[in-house]
Amino acid sequence: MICNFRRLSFLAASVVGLAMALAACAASPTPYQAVGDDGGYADQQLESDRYRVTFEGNDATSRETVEDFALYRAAELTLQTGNDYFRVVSKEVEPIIGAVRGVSPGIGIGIGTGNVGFGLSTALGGGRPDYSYVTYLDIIVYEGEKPENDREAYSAFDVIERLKPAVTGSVDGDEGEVAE
Amino acid sequence: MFSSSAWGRPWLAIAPLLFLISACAMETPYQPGEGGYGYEEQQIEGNRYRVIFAGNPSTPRETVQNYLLYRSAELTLQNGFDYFTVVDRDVERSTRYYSHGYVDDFGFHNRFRGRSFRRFYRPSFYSSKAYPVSEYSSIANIVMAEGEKPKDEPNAYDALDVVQQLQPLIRQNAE
Repeated sequence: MICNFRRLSFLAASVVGLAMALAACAASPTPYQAVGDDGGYADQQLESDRYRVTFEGNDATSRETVEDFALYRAAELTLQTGNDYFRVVSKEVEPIIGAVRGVSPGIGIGIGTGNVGFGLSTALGGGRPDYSYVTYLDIIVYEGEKPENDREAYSAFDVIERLKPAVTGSVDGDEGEVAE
Repeated sequence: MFSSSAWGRPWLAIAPLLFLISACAMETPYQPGEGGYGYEEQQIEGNRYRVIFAGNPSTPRETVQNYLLYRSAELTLQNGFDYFTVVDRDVERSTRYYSHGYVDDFGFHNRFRGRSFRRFYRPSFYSSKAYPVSEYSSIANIVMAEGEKPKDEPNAYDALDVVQQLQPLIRQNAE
């Protein structure tokens, strides 16, 4: 009876632990969207032709995706402001280390009587932090043909053309939902 | 130490959080830092300055960047110049962790009924969570100049333009 109860609760704990681990993995990546609780893009005008574009991913979003989406937003912004190409003045990808959670199994030894017991327990394991990425792009937008020999200059139209499959694909079929 | 059951103890999780929130709920305003949070500058030579903005843990990185740029522009105008060139820039992040945890140990209540002292061995689970709290400080070396900013220099900023764009974002301390 006692033994059963212990087994059951042990089993329950294992199931809960497993469920928690699965839930953490099951989160879907941040879609291409304006920034909200789950990440997204944001932009800030710094000068009449200069913007800072930010894309923040959640912990299920890969670094490549975060970089692509920031670049896509930069291109979109360039066209929206009536320009043709942009120049990346500075680019930074910041890894964000989130909360470190852990359920560590341990082993305890103690002594007790009645409903009271004392013991010592040691944990055998550690936690794993959540990682996510934020990309910051400082860009200057320009009109006209992009200069041939400028490595930092991107044709907005071309970037949109190339990255569109990655951007719309990530919305999981809701292709019409690409934010304005 | 064993506890009888720790499943229903949300207050354990909330207590350190409440402490954190009460400790630093306000963003660093646009203010001189004087060694703490805020902006600071050092003249290196005639028209060259090092500008720093340090934000507290509630201040987002973007805000720190905006305030640094705004301070650089303001300083340029105050010195009678028109534009500044950012020679180098850096953002630094420092992170501290706050953690809490508790031990779950199962099936304790029925264990010793009607018995005298008895040894026990049992599995336990130590559940823990550590919260990172980061603060950013931003630093730039700038060179100021008079006249129109050069067209082909991406690191040159028109001071008046920057002030106009960022003005709406500047939050100063209410006197």
